Amino acid sequence: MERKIDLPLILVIILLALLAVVISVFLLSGDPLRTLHYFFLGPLKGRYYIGNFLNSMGVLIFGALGFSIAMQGGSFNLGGEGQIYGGAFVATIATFGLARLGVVAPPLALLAGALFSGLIAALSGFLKLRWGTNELITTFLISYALILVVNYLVGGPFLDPTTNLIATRKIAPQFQLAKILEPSNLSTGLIYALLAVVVVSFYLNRSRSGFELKMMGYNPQFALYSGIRVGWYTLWPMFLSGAFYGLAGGISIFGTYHATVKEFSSGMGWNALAVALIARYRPWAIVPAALFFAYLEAGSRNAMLHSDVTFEIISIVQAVIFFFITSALLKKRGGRHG
Amino acid sequence: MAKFPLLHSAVSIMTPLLLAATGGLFTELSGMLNIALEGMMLWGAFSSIVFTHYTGSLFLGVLLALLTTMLLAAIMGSATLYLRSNIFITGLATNLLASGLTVVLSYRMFGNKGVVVFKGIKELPYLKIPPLQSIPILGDLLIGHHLFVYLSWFLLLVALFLLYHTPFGLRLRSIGDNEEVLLSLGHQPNLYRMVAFLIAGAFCAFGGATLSLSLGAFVPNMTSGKGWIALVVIFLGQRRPLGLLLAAFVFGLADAFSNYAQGAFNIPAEFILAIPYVFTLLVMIGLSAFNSRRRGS
Amino acid sequence: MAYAVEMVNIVKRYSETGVLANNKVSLSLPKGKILALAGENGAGKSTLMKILYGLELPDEGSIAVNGEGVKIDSPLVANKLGIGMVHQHLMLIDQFSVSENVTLGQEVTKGLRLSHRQRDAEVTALIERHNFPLKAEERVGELTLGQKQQVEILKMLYRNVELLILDEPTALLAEQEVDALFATLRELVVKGVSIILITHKLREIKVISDYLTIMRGGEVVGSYKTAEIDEEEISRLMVGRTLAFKTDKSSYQGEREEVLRLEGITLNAKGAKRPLLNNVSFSAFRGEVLGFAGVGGNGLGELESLLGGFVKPSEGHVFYNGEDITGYSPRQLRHSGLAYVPSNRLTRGSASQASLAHNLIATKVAQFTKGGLLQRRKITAYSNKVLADYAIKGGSDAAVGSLSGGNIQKLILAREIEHLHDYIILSQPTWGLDVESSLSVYNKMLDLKRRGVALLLISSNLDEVLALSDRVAVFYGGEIVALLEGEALKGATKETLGAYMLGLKGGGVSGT
Repeated sequence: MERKIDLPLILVIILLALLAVVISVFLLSGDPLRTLHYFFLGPLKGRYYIGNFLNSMGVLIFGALGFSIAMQGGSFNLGGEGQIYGGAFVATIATFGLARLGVVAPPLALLAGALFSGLIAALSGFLKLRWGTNELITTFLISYALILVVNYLVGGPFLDPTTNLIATRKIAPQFQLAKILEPSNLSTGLIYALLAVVVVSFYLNRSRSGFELKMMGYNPQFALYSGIRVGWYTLWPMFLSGAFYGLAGGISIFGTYHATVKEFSSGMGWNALAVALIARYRPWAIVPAALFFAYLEAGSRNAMLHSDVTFEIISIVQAVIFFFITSALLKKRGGRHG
Repeated sequence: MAKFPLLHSAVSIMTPLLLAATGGLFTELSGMLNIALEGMMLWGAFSSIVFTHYTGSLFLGVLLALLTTMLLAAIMGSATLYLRSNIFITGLATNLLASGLTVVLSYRMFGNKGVVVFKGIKELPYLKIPPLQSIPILGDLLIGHHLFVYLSWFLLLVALFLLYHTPFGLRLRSIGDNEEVLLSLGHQPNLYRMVAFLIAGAFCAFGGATLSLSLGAFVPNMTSGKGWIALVVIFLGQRRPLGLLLAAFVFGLADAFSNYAQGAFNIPAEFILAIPYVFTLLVMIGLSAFNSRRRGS
Repeated sequence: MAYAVEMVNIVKRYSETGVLANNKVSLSLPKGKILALAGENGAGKSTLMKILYGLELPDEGSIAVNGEGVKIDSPLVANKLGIGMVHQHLMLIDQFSVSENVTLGQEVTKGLRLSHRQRDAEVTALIERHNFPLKAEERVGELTLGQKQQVEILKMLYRNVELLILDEPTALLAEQEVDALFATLRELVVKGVSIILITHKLREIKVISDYLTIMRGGEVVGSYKTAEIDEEEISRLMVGRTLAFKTDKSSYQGEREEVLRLEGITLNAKGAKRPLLNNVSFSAFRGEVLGFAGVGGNGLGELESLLGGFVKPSEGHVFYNGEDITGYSPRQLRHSGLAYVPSNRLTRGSASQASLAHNLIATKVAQFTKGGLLQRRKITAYSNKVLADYAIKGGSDAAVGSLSGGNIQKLILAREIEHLHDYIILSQPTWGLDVESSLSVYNKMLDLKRRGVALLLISSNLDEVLALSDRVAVFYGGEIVALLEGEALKGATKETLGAYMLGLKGGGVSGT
């Protein structure tokens, strides 16, 4: 029922994250000022960098929607890493078979990826429903196993021998999303992501199914008592969640990578999770949160390219955010959050 | 020499698992699902070999690893207990911090994000008693291992003592059942939980050190899911110290066998790497199926 | 006179809620006497005692123990001063033995090591000194409620307390167990212990206490010698005015038609020695209140869950207006006409983060849906109307969690009554409500009865059960051991029910 976004909280988190960047750069870089310069200003230097920075927002939005839908329905989906990667791979493979179908082929291929990841997540929902297996753990474990299986497929049966990358063949041009800000990577994927926010928000707030899903998230006992189909709403939010993760993967292939490169999505799931946590699972709040996180991500990429720190510095920022984001101190008085 | 090499390697493979699980038992019994065993072990692996490398002393290296891992555990503990953050998210944070920090530091120190081999590190001391070693089964299980194997057994006994024969252990276990009870008697449950976090950190540091020091090298994410398996070892071992020993041995045996299978049947490395996750998953499912059937619902 | 404790002008305001729980409260207790601290829910009794036991710090005021000024900022300090407290919710570890529970926090050690044998010996000696029917090695989880409370008292005696605070110790006990508890308390007084008893039960005050302090709305309204004040006066002081608690039982004029019938319902639990419900049969009729009484753990909780569809019976059948509805899920029951006020209003009865409006429509969202979309205007209009009709304080968009307990209960009642078809299950409908709110619930129930609704009332408040019910089924060990009606019910007292509830009497099933 919370429609307001509370600004102080977001500010505290932003400050903490920035502080984490500055401190770790000072500790880890031989030339901290130069590194910070590239970190903070790099993403904004010219069309190319701005475009790339905005482009990663799209994937973050899809992924964060994925985590948030499960959360709104009272389930944890920690399988983002694997579900993004798996969805991307299945969407890629699907393009090879669907190419002849013409205009309907791209959405079908994306849906195939979404369906695959949705079912993977729903499997955890099923285990929870059937035996009460903690979905927090099963989504995580299945995801890690899935990553390894996809690694094998990308590096083995589906390897494109004509490139030096460990990657699949490229998808056909008909599947590639239109570019918005050449020469950067920014594609129409971002627009689809914003559309998805509208759709999810409408679904959660206006539809009966969204209402029942949220009741399940607020209090599953109450949902059962009220006569809501709790079995279905154990599976459905997980399926939707996985599907959005799968879309995140598919969109990044169609918009940016054009082939499944081995472990290309490593870290995306955790980034999306961080975005969802900052936004407190509210669809609209995901947009600014994704903007902020995409900026941090672009910053660490730039710092890596032009200075002496590695990209993994972003995990330290993530860790700082995760340590504090669910803290009771940051919650407003009397507020309750899942 | 060893008559049953599978048993012998099972014992050394189980050692980091046993250490992490024993540490995790403290947080588990105080009622906290600690998924950060993985990250704490990874940091232990990195810091122990780096500190040993720089100090030139195994003792100092491991000691410093112990202290820094406990610091990491203290950070997670404070965020969880005093800032009251969600323990799963702080556990995730700990894991991410460890995996990020080890790579960033390794790049900064050695200019390398991949495997770092430390040539100067001496081999760990081994217990070698040739005549006894040749006793079948018992010799394979008990003799011919390195320092940390015996340390893990000793620490298991220490844990047994602490948990079941000291006021600290009694109080810690009471918190896991109902923290209000201790609170109503004027004691601070969070203090005990914090100590549990520190102990978990220390044990995981030993577990990580076992991995890197016995190899003489640091490999990025070299724990590869062992922290998660340690969690399963705790559940499978019925949250009892001796149960842990048995469960860890079963995992060690399975791992030793899969290593052997990989060589024998030429299975892709990715599938071997996936085994811990799949195995953990199956055990979790099996346990919950068993429990739900026993509850009879 | 020597005082065991004197509290002077205690002020406590909770900073989070701004509630002034204690406003210049003073209380004193002469040594070796029993003081009853009486008042309605929310009068500030528990807060005051938590301050005395060091669980809360007062904002102002002073405390003297045995004539000396003290500052009590932890239960450990309280224990050292000889103050102990037995909480309303028992503070025990079920997996631990009696002796482990008793010594927890003050363990018997030899060096660093726990000494199990010496501990058991010490606790056994303590048990024998006070003649409790307990063994030091027994698991607490296997004890009855009455025994568990004795373990709690032992825990305090082990700490050598001279002042024992008991917070509503009789809330969960049957009458006979209450008698045993009071016998123990009297013995303790003889041994020089002073006792403060928090209660709101008039009879207990008269039976056990020497002195009485009455609180209302965070203030003391009077302190008395118990012998010098009568029950009516106590009641008047507690509530602020005299209450007429009389109800009219016979008012439904229609035919006596059966609505709900249970036939031979048995509920087995895996691993349990005996069934949770054993061959339970009864019928509920139109325009009638069927009351259920029983001590916790004797099947009433299971009966509630079964009627609500949360558990399915192992054997037997449930019929609703002649239709077999055995094993229906809550969803199916809702469709067939279930209205149900659950005992746990927060975990089962509401979603505290959701709005009042959404809580009101959750059981029938289909009626507010068109083409898969919610009809928001219709929802708000309906919700505003219900909130006004039932005098619930709160807006349609407010979160349920922001309401007081009484208002949440009214909201649940409103939803279920609006959902009502021809029967309703009410479990602990007045738990935690003050007297006035309870009265309005009773009136609502009687109104439903007049309209020909079958009411099934599950309650641990025996006064309520006796006053409202046309028939009373008493549960013991998962079975109906007595079904009282007509003259038998008219002559029944709480003690009569208590005897059945403890299994001392049985086989009195009469009538349908």
